[in-house]
Amino acid sequence: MGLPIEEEICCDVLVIGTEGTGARASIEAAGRGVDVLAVTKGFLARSGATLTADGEIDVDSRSAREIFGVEGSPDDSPEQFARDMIEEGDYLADQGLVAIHAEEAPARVKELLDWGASLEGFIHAPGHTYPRGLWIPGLKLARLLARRLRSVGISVLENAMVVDLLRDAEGVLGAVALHLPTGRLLLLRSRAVVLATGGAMRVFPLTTAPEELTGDGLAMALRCGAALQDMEFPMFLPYTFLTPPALRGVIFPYDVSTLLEVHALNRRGERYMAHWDPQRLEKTTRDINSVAAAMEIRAGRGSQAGGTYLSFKHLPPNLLEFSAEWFPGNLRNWRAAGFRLRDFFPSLERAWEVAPACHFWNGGIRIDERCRTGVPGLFAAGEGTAGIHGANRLAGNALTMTQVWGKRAGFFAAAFAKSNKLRDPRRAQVEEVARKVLRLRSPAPGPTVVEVRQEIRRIAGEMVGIVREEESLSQALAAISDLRDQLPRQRVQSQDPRFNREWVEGLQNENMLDVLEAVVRASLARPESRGALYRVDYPFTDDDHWLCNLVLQRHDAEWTIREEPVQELHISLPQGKRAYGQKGDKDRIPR
Amino acid sequence: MVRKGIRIVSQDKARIITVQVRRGTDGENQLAAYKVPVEPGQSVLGVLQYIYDYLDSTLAFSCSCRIGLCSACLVRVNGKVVRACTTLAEGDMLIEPYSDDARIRDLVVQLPPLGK
Repeated sequence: MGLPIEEEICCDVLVIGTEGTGARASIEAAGRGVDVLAVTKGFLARSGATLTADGEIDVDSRSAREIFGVEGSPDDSPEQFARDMIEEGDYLADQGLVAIHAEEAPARVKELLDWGASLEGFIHAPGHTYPRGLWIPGLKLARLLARRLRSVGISVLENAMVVDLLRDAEGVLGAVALHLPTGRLLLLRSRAVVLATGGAMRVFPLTTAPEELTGDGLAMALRCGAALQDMEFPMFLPYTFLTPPALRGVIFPYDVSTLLEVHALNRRGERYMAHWDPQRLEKTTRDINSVAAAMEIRAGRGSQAGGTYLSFKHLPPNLLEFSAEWFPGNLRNWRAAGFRLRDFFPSLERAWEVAPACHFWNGGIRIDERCRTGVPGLFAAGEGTAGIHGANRLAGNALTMTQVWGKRAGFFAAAFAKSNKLRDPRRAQVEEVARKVLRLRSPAPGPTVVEVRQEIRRIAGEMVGIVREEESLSQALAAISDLRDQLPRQRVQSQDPRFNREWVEGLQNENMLDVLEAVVRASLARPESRGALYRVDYPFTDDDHWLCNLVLQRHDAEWTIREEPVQELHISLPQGKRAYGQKGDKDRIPR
Repeated sequence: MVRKGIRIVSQDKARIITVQVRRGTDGENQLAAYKVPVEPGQSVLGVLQYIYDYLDSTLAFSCSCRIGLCSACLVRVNGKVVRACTTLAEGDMLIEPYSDDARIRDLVVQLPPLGK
């Protein structure tokens, strides 16, 4: 054949990503009788974000009571759950998708229990009208799904980074992947593809996310002709450690802030939250909390390490000692990230230096209720797909998203595969994808892959952070354009094909750059603040003009953005202008 | 100041340790030695990341969650198998792959499959 492809694998449904969403999609598709190949960039159940989830998985409170026997409220309903989601999402969520999400959540969690999961608790998280947080630790969920995946005989290909999708005029055909242990290129041919690769939080310099979350699926979907939506809303979580280095990006301080009365101080010792939410102060919503911290830092009132201070000084030592006993399981004894925090902080007289970190991806690949992307045969689900969370996500809804939408994607991908054939990939396209990898194998005069990654994160941190404005966003576009010219010239030190980390980074750099550019363009195109987006030059929410989703596509390096008005299906939409963060008095008439 | 990146390591807080890494694959082992500035509260994973970012990006190592959950970063430090991300860098050290069975390269090992 003469192609640089060293192995070809055929299947009916190719699932890219094997954690919460990908595992559930694979299991569903296999259950429909099709041949599934599940591919992961890391190790199965030892990569991705699912295993890092503390464990909240939401269902409406009434179902929680009736199906799972916990102290849920009979007054709740899937409709009320949907209403809370739409409100938290600042009215940009797709009301049809949200209704499905709330409706199907209980059945998906019930299946997990049938497969051997145990519920370890039930909580009422902020933003929910009723308690909805069933508790299954993410690590246990990931392992349970991995066991199920293997037990139903699904083929799993680990340590294989999918480089790009392949398609023709009729739709998707499969993908080319780099097999990391050997450095070989693989041709994966399938009748349908499911993208379940998660978000792109690693674009930002401070993040809670694992290694793999570099937006690969979003970038590949974009390059394949699919659309990205709500890209201006990456979610930030306040109060993550800035220091010491081993704890950087760890969310323990945020968790503590929900349990104790902590004080968030700027360098002058002021509780700056008084300017943003005088009632709730540090316990305000995560978006306002993150914006407030970012504004203090931006105004030059940040801490030594460039964050803000979280102080416990006002709490008596015996109160703090006792808290080690009653804190919930994963936080008990003030343990975090595998460390005993008292080893780092022998005294809580010294404040912690914290900053908001990128924690979740609210938007992503535009999908319909069948997880279709508009490219025939290409489905997507899970974090990194748009429409379910709108401009911001409710606590606990990330895990629910993996199961509801993973199942749907698997179901519809299997149905598609059954009525479609394998088609031969076009040689030119395979070669083009292979060239990306081969280029990294040849000597090049440009910046190293490490330098490019650091530059991407610098642009993201300095110009596309929590607080955005036109001038720095425009500078970001120019910086991104310069960096894009450097991508084909990226230089590596090692040509050893075995587990070449630099090759992976070189490919990830292109994905992160594509995603970052989408974030910048979408942010520039929305002259208001809403949910997880704060524009300091437009610090208000404009429901008269901006109740629409921004949908981006790219064809031959030309970007297009269109505005899709939000459809009022179940909940009426607000009108008027309001200050950022105020959901205000809404006339929420159920239809 | 060492080279400016995401983190700036100030010379007065950092001390220099010698990190030896057993590199290669089965049957081809070389001991590579690196001088690494470490701050208080830096993990072994942070040391590996520093080596890769600033000294030698030919180094192969695995990591994922960085918070002690996934087990992708298992290594042997001074003879003991630990997670690199939850082990503090406390002085000169020898880092080796956690197992020599199914070693792919340097510190990367093919983990036994979960779920079987």
